[in-house]
Amino acid sequence: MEHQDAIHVVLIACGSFNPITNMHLRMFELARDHLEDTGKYRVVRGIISPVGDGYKKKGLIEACHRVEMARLASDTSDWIEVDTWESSQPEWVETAKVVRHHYEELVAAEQNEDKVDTVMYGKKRRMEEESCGCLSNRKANPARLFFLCGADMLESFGVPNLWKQEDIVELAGHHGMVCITRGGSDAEKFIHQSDTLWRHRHNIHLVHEWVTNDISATHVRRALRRGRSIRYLLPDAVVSYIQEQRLYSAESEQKNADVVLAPLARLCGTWEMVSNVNFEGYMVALGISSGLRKTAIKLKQKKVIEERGEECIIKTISALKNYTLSFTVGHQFDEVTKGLDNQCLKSLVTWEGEKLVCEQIGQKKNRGWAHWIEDGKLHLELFCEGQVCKQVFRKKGSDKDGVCKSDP
Amino acid sequence: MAACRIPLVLLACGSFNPITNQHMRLFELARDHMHDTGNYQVVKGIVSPVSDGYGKQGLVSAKHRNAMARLALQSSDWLTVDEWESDQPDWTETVITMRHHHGCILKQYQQSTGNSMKRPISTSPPPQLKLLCGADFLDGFRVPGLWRPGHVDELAAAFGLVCVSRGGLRPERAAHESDTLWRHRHNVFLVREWVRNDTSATELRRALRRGLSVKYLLPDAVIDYIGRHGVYTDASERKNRGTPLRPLAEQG
Repeated sequence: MEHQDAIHVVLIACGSFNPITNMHLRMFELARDHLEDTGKYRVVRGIISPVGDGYKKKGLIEACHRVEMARLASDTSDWIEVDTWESSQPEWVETAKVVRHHYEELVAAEQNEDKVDTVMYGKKRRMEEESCGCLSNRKANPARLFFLCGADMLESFGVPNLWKQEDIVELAGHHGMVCITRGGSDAEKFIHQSDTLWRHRHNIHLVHEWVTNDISATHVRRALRRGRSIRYLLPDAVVSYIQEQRLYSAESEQKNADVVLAPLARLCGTWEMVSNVNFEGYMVALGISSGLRKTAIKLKQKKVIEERGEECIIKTISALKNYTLSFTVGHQFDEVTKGLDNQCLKSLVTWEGEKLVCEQIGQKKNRGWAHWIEDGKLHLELFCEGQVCKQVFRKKGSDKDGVCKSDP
Repeated sequence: MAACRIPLVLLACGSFNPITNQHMRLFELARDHMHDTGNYQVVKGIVSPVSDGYGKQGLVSAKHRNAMARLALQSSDWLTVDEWESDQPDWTETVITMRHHHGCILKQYQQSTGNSMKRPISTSPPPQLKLLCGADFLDGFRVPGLWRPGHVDELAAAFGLVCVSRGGLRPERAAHESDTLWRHRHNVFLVREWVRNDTSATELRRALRRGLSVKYLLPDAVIDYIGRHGVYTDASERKNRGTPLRPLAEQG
């Protein structure tokens, strides 16, 4: 069956795993069967990467529990394992970055085989050597990292502003994807509808599931809240762990209920100013008159951020004047800073990790801003010619800071 | 909970060729549902694999099917395998199997309560036995020759049915269209399963023959057993090919 020069593949699945179910595990099995059936690949490892608590999805329980359940679930597998890099990051990490991290690890491991062998890969690598014994081949054919997902993930690629185009290119183009599709799902249509996916269609492996198996984590949590049996939907060890730790209640389902999902949606809402550091320096750099500066510095600003289709709208509201900016991420636009320093700028807003960053090209050098969420607050940096103003806003109507408490 | 709840034993008859997680789910769903009525306390679930005499294509020997079911149920504290049906030299009609188990249950109950005349009022009522079945089971009542006259009536009246559906309205329709079932509708419990899970033993055997993974569709211990004994092969699937099902053969 196996070709001597089969390309070694590592599969990685990112998600909440809240909790992990037999369906998640089946996806790995189906993907491996499919890839190995092509004769071109040999799947050597599967990585389950639970998302960090910073993702703040409703009902998302602490990563330590989700990781432990995934560990218990993968215990009986000789090739699937859990990795905690993503879940141990303090803030939410974009999927492309997670995949990049694991790819770098994989490359480093290949270059440094002997050393890494004993430390990182443990039993799996040794088993694979015994059955294959063809280490030298991998030098010529470097291992690949494939992103494993369901058809819903492909669909989400088409949702405006949810994904950065370059991330999709990185996942589908550079690495490769394996997508498990259900009976009525339209994976082919999603690929057809996206120019990016279509360009990389040969790198997207669609796997048809021959047994529809709709065990969603949402269903499992619902059954648990209602005291219904969840046995045989997830491994027994996970069922026991959930019972021992008393996970998933009506209360845990309300977790993060008031938080909207990353990335752009997290910025949306009405925000009230908490602090404003070096606004003066920033205004001086912009060349704003001292009279206006004196008034402006006393103002309590408000930000209203909205998402309308592809467009993002940021309104800055104060007693003196309002300033509205609307843009589409990734598209350069002409910005007139009317009522501020009255300049015509070429502006471009992009995502840099979790930060929404704007570069404003005009007479002033190094001008722009960055918005991001940290500890449930909106942080804004305004910069111009080396001056940086740091503002922090609190979400209107919330006196708590939105940080997810972690119960022991 | 309530002292007046009727103890209930659920019996599932079938090939169990092999037993899958989905079979066990049917029991879990049925138990939750019956508890929810407030009238029953499910005390036991019995898996009763059909005897080799059934003559279904691909039916491997009862020895294997019983062993796999035992392995699958060893971690459950209320589900058991019973070999009485599969031990019978010929195929046994479902109602006969139910009569047997009902007899056993009543005997056990009488032994535990002692002389029925001296029975204190506070003891629980005698246990009932109901047949647990999947969505397509009720359709079988309409297949000519599959059921003996009077058997459906006895099943619904004397015992009762718990039928788990997979989302569609098929059991509701079948229960509505049968006058017998309609007459005993209060003894026919339809359970709705909201998670679509199409794991069938047929699909599992197909995957096994093709060397595809079946992990997480049935317990690891069963997969090990299948591998160790080479239970499912192209040859095993050819077993009984062209043979009519035993219940239908009787007619001819």
